Amino acid sequence: MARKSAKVNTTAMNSAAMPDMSGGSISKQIDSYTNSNLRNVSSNAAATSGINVTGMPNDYAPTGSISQTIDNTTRQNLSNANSNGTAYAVNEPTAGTAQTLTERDITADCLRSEILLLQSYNSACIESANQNVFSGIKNILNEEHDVHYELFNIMKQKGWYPVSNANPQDINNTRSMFQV
Amino acid sequence: MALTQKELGYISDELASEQLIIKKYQTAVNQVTDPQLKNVFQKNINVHQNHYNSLLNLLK
Repeated sequence: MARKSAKVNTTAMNSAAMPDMSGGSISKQIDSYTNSNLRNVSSNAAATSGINVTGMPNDYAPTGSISQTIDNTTRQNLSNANSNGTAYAVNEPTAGTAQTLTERDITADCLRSEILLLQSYNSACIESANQNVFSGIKNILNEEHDVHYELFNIMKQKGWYPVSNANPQDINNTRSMFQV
Repeated sequence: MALTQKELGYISDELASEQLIIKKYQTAVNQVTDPQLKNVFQKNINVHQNHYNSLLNLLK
């Protein structure tokens, strides 16, 4: 929900404000730069047979083929990491058996949604131009904070959201670092 | 002052989000047995319903 809306906004912004950023324009630039360098090399150093003979055709425009390759590799790595990452999940999903959401999962899901909602309300509040929109959103934002805090406290109280205290020595160190 | 395009975009997104989270809590309240959770989920349905109405009012 909130994640989806953020995505929509980004797409809209990209197409409206920065149309040049979409597509492979940067990699194209890099490619043509590399291309011209290669051509310089081939004209200057006649001995380098490989480049000299074949050269690079002037219309060589791979539209980001290199970055595409990198992207694919990164994507591959990321998906590998994700599939490995499930091992760290609290309730490790086991293949074949039906998974049910525990009360803890349900509450955590609600908390997560509240956090995303809060974040998008904060952006909405920052970007509002009208006084009544600003104050209306700010009121909602304020109440949302209370909803989130209550839910968080219930989870903490049930031991579903463990928090660890800061080391007192670290607090002292930080204070002395900033004390004049 | 008239509503800006950006404000309308946010309000529309938030309305959709509120609708979804209300449904989520409505589902959740029937799935849990813990009275404390049931209680807070039920309360949050109302809070979000109010937020939904406030957002809708901004479009008037």
